[in-house]
Amino acid sequence: MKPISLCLIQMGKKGLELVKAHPDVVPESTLNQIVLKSMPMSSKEGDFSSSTADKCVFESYIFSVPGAERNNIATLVAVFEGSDYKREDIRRFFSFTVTELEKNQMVNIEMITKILPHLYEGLSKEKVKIKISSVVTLEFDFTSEKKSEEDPGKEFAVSMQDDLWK
Amino acid sequence: MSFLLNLFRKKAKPVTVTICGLDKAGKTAIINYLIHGEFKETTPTMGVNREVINFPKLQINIFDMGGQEDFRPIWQEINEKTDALIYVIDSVDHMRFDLTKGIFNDILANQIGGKIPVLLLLNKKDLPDRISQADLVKRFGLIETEYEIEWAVFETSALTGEGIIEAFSWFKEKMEER
Repeated sequence: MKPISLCLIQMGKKGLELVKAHPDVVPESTLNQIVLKSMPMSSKEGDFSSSTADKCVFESYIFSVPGAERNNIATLVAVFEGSDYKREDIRRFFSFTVTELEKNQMVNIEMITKILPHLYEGLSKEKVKIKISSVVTLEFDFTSEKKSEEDPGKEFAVSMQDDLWK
Repeated sequence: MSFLLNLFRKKAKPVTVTICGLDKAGKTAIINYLIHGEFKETTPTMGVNREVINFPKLQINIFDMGGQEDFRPIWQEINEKTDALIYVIDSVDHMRFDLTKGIFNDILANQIGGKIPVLLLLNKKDLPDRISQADLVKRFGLIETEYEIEWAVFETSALTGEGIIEAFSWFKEKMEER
């Protein structure tokens, strides 16, 4: 499920603008399309959308960034070369990241820019553990999340079967 | 009996209204106040939001337009079909006053047609050091305007709700007259 890049896009003074792309490997013209399409019309915080730009497919999660005068909107975008990834896993991962940062009043553009390379690494390896501060660690294990979503009675059924044979 | 009542009950008249103005002027906050009766935190409008406000004789379809420069080209298409315009001005944004004036004049000249109601809201009344209502009328040249519009200016605060009911009472009356 390795993305080719992770992008952070926010609403700037004129409109949507790219804050950072990591790694910065997506061609500029494709990146410009991604910026424009990352937030569909009328979208609001919590929305998750998919789109394409040239040969890339991307998933974006829209969230609110608290500000002194007014809150802003931004989006985390995972860019892929094909569709060989689980869309739902990306949504859960982005939603988890933003929710955990929110709980610790750490949703700000500087913080997300700083952890973007770690989020990329984590998404590529399907295992995230990022120490954000002395007390906050983001930990998201894609495999355990999958396990818990599988048939909850499956593990129990297996152990019962073992017991019956004893 | 209820069938007959329904048959003869006057249907609410649907009207289309656009709300324009620079980013951070308070357009969405004003609409939120009208709908919820209280201030709600907003984020920048992504393109266009549509809200419906129902009155006994009137159904107002409001197109809340994102104010960022990149979204302004979208306004024309919707403004051309609108029955009325609400234009929101940030009363403490002295730096961009000429810009908002220019955009307002462009809407009147190129985007709306006919004798339509135009409600100007001088928002953020709760803040100090703001542009006055009289100053706005003078600097926007509303008295001597060449356009056939029915205009009114109200000072509002989307934070406290001050002036919003008065402004929309005028607006609703004008819409019902049409």
